[in-house]
Amino acid sequence: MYLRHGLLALGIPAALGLSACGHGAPPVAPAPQAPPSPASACLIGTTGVPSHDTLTIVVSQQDSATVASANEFDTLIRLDCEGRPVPGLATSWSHDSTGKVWTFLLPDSTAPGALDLASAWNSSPQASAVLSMSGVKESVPVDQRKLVVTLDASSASVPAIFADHTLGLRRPGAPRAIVVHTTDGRDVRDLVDRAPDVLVTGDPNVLDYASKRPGSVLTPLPWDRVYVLLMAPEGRPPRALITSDSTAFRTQLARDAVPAEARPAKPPYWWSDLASCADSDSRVPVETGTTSQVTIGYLASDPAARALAERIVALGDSSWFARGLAAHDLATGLQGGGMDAYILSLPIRSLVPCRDANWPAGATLVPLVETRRTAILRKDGPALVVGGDGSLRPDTTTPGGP
Amino acid sequence: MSFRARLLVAFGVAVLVPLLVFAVGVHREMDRRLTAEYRTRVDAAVEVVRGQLERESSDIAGRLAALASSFPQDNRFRLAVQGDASARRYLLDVAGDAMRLAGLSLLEIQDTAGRVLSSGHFRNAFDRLEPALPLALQGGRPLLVRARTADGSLLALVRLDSLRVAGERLTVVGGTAADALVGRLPRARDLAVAFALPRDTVVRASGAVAGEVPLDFLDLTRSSPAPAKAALVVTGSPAPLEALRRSVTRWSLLAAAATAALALLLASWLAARVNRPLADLADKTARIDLDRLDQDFSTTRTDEIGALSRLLGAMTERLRLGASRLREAERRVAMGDLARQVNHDIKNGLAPIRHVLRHLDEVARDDPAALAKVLAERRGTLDSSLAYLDTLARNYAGLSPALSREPCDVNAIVEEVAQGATRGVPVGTVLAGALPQAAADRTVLRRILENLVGNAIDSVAGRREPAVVNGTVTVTTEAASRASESLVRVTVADTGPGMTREQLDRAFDDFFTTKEGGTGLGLSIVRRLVLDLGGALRIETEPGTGTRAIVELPAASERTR
Repeated sequence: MYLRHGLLALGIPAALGLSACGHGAPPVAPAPQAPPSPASACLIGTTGVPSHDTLTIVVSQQDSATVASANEFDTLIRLDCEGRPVPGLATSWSHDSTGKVWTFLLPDSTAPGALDLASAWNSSPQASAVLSMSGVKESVPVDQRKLVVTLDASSASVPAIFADHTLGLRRPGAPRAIVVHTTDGRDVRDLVDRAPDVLVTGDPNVLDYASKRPGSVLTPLPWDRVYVLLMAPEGRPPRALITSDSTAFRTQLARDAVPAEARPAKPPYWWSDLASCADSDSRVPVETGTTSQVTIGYLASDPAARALAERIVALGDSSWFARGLAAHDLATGLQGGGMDAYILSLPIRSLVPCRDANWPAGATLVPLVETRRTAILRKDGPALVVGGDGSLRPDTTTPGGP
Repeated sequence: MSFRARLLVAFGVAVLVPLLVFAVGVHREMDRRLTAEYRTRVDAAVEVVRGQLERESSDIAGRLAALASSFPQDNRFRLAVQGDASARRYLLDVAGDAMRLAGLSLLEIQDTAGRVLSSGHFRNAFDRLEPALPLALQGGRPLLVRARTADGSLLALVRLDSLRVAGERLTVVGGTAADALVGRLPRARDLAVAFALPRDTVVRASGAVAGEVPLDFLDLTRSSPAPAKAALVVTGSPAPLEALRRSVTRWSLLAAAATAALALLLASWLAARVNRPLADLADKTARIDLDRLDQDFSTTRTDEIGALSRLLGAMTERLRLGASRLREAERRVAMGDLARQVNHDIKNGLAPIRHVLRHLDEVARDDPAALAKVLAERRGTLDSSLAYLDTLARNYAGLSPALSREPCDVNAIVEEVAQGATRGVPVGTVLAGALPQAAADRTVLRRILENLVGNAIDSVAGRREPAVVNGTVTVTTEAASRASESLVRVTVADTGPGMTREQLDRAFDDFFTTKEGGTGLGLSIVRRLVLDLGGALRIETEPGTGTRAIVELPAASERTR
């Protein structure tokens, strides 16, 4: 199940305490919640007028699914770039005095409605699984306007799980987003030359090039990714190296080793408590290599992961090696073992931690650095909203927008 | 050993021994030259490798010198060396950028303590201490180094240069990958170039190392790198050379075998060419006896065999004359014997008559009345004596029959004789088809065959010896030839007791007989009759194997017919 959702989100600023993993606040008095507006920091771009009917977004292949989903699916709520819930299909929501029963109101004229949403959830095994592992006990559509959701535990704020695309509905008549991959071997600067609506990259060389182009605007995106060293339970990773002076070590990694904008990783980490995940015991213990070599695997197409693996190997002795892996091989290696450690890129926040924690039981995660990327926007391009999962979509709230 | 075999052996030895000596000599010379050529090629390859290594080393040194002169001009580099934090990332990347620009595979910038400031082949190996590398390169000679990379190791040929920036002396170590270096070496057929490292026993254990260029070596992947010796070795698989040698050997043996076979064939042909006339002469000579002195030894050859043939012909001619004289002498002796025998026989026949006449004279004188009675009493004696004389006269008359030669169907006569003279002994015939007619007197021929068949029947009839009982007689006819003369051969064979050598020697003598009551004239008469017909008669016999009387008569010619 973990691999089925293996494309880790770019960065999902979620209120972990609001997720249905048992971190709920004590019951509060029922009161209608006024949905906040998206923070201005989450709006990028200038005119808000797309140059044509479609929105051209250039991202890495790794991120393409998330961006495509954000532009094709509507969820009950959305998370802005700072992780705050903002209206999606639901325009407002409220909860009862226990904090367990939440009522979502949908506009009259908007199709689809609550009935369509509940029907989609019930017919999708993936949606049902996400609801189950997130502590959603029941969802009952009263009519097209009203959806009542009952949680296992009380929650002080609206559960961020309803912003997950697994629980979304395909949006009819939305502007089509053309997602172009940057990792197909081409020079990304060639794509910059074509002046897409937005190009997302962390490559300093590309950013340096784009900064010198008069038609481009560079906007840093939120810190959305954390790199960790996953050490197999029986592996021979450099534990002493990592833990001896971790702060200085992480600082040096962020400053010198990673070819991207990076900073030392900081807690809290969403994977620090996965005990409530129902199937945590079913994770397969990883098997490590049998040779005298210590091998650290990483996603070959991720320069930051490669740099981190390389630096750790450089600090070890001659029996340490780094090995780049294809995405499929990395996922297989995580489940079946074969290496002593892996450099993984995880979202800084997770809406469904039990789903996104796709590593073997007993593995140790050492946070290393956090990274963020930069959006290269066309100067006269449309205004875009940065989603909580790092996605980009046209701004529909600005006057004059689509 | 036959003359032909000896000739073959002699010819074979005379050809094969020099041939084998030649083949061995050629093979050894080829082997020596191939080895020398291979050695020359290896030496040339080693020289090429050495030269290429020097060029590569010089090239690396040139590129490092260019980098060492350009780095001090770079202000960001200078600031980074001085500790400017904002330029640190530039410093970490500068070696990689410079390495790619210079076309090197390895580049490392170190401070005086041996700390890595920037690494091109292992970007994030900064701050590592590797003082052993510049130390090993102090001598100015190229060094083969195994350096660490993130995902393994890199074997490279490296050189050292140095520069001074902001008062600090830095070393620059750079080089090219060993496999790329080997790839740039000229390709030599059957030869390969590879690096042989310390403890790397694979290359040397193969036994194919033909030459090598020694190199200093440093293994940076070890925890305590220490200088060692390596080499760029030229390996040559012995397989092609061995294959060439085998090919030479194979072709040498094939050529020797073909030549030997040809020589043997030639020897065989020559032996046959020499031996066949000799064998023919021997065969003709073997057929010569007093009754067959008509062998033709005439030849057109002018060599020794022709001379021998002519000598044998002359000898045969002398034998023929001698035989003729001998036969005449025999005839004369026989006539004398015959006269004495006739005299004796007639006397024997006349003696009873004389006695009877004397008795009758005495009776006529003393008792005439009893003359008739006594005559009657003695008439039997007279008749017996007269019959004896009559028989004697007929036998003697047979000694000189009148002959007339005309074509005779020998098979028909044989059939008639065989059917009429069995006397209880089976007489079989084996008659040749298309048998030519013989030029002979039919009566004489019948008489000859009756005598021979009669003798054969006598030899088996009534015999009780185990080896002879139930004996048979077989008459065989066949066509034959002698020289250019066509013959009809009749063989009368019996399974009787045969004759001893002494008996055979006297078999043709008049009045010699081994039969009780025989006159001893039959075979003698048969021989004379055969000779008178222009034919030949010979007897083949041994005790216990029966007797074969062979009559050869000239076939009737067109003229005879």
